[in-house]
Amino acid sequence: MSETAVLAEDVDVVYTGRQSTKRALDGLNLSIAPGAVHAILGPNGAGKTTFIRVATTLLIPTSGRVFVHGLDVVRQAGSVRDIIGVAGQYATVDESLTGRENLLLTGTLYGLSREERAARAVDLLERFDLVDAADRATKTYSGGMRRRLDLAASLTGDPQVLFLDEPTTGLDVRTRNALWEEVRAIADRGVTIVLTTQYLEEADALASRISIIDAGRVVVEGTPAELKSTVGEEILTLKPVDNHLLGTLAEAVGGEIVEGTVRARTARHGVTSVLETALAVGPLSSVTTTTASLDDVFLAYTGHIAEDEQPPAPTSRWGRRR
Amino acid sequence: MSTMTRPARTDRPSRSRRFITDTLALAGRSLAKFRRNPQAIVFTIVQPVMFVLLFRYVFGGAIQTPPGVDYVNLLIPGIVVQNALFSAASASVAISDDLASGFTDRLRSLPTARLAPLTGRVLADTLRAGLLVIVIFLVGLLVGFRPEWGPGLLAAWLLLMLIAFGFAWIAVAIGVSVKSPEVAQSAGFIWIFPLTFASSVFVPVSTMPDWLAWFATINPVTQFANATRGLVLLGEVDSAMGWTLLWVVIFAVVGGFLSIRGWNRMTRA
Repeated sequence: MSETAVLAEDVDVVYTGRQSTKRALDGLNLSIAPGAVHAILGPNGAGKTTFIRVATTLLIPTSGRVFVHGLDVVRQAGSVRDIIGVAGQYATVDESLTGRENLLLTGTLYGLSREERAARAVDLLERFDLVDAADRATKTYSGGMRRRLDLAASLTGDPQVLFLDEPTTGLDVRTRNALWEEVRAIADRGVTIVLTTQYLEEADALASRISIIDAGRVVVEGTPAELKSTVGEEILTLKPVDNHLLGTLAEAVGGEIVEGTVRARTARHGVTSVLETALAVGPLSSVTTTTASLDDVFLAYTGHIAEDEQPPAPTSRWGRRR
Repeated sequence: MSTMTRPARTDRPSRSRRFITDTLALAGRSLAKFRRNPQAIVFTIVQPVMFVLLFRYVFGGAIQTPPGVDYVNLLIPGIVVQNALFSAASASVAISDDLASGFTDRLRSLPTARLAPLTGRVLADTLRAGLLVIVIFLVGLLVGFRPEWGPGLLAAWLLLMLIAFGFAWIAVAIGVSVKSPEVAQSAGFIWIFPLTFASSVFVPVSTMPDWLAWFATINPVTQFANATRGLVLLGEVDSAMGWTLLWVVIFAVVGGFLSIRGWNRMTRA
């Protein structure tokens, strides 16, 4: 039997505050194959970061179990930490140490010998194009360099599974593309990559499989192509002349209301029948058809549009980040 | 390219060995952070020097001392106690900073010895307190402080680091329980002022009103200052030494317990 790299079974996480409780994960099930690049895609507050915290042993789930290569993240947390790497949305390197010192420190904490960690640091600095900056304090690094160092640090222990929590959030396009190349190169070495993102483009570009999560559970999972085909091949965006008819129109064609239009999905041969139904409701001021994208998949399964703006600080135990 | 589970690493050092290695590595990181922050160094040194000058030359003349005892000789052993506490108290901000920046998350996702981030911090702040004590001692010599030269000085230095060690655990407990570095900044330091001023650090307790003298007498800081004076001025073990050691143990045990409990609770939702 081929082992799963990450297996989540009915994971619940309920945050209990003084005034309220919040269900961050609600029966999440997930199975990730070794060697996959698996994207967990979802809106803010869907539970992406919470899942990463559970899988990386930082948070004990309220119920349910998570295994990394068969190791229980709660009961065998120490062994799990030996085989995972984590890079977060915020580069968690020490600003006053140099790039090399950060990698050496991480190496020490992984239990590597002096020679091993020195060699590993040199290797990683080269791979991530940080040789020139190696002996400078990381507070002088650009945002992109910090992310690269953070990624390098997460590979110090030669992990089998790498967790990337929104790795490109807040990066400019050029830096993001460079980071994507790094992620692909890591994947090519056989490392399983679990990546959370709220960018559909990122999931489409990197992932071999995508799980869309919303409100703490997986709503759909598949390859990017499978997901696109499940929502139909063609998307019709219909704008009625009379805005009051939006609701009726949406109901008639089985679509969703988005920004004053109705979006309906159909197989290619179904376009005319959708149009006939729509025109029976009332006259239309515009009609466009597009081929389904992951945006449409996202909308179909979560009921809202994927967010493109900067997310607020993620929820950690502390509820804030700088 | 292999995606199979590799066999568990068998060449790993033992748990206790790793605890020591990780503690030293993280203490080294904390000290490097301090060493490379010139501002922090300047302020850490300027503040006690100001206290020394202020009390030596501004207030000192007005403070009554027992006949034949020079005020500066009472002052310096008191100020080193105050600064050992200040130095230890900075642990609360540092711990809170690491939690806020995500650095702690990274440490906790590595196979780091579980408590090494805490013990590393305490070790760093204890050593830093030891350095600060030496600096104040030297400044004291410049302004007329005359200790009893002998092994009592070395014993006092070790005692001050022990005091810093005990207090650092209280500071770490504060650091792991407050919600932000800003809160840690005030919660970590505010209690040091009443403790050090309502004590024998700057003035003889006998000059205080009864109620305050009562508090100052049981105040651990008075015990610390008196025990230090015994060693530094007379080369003797003062009767305050017993209380001092007891307080240090209490601070370390209570602080350590609360720190570890807070640390382990972080994995709960």
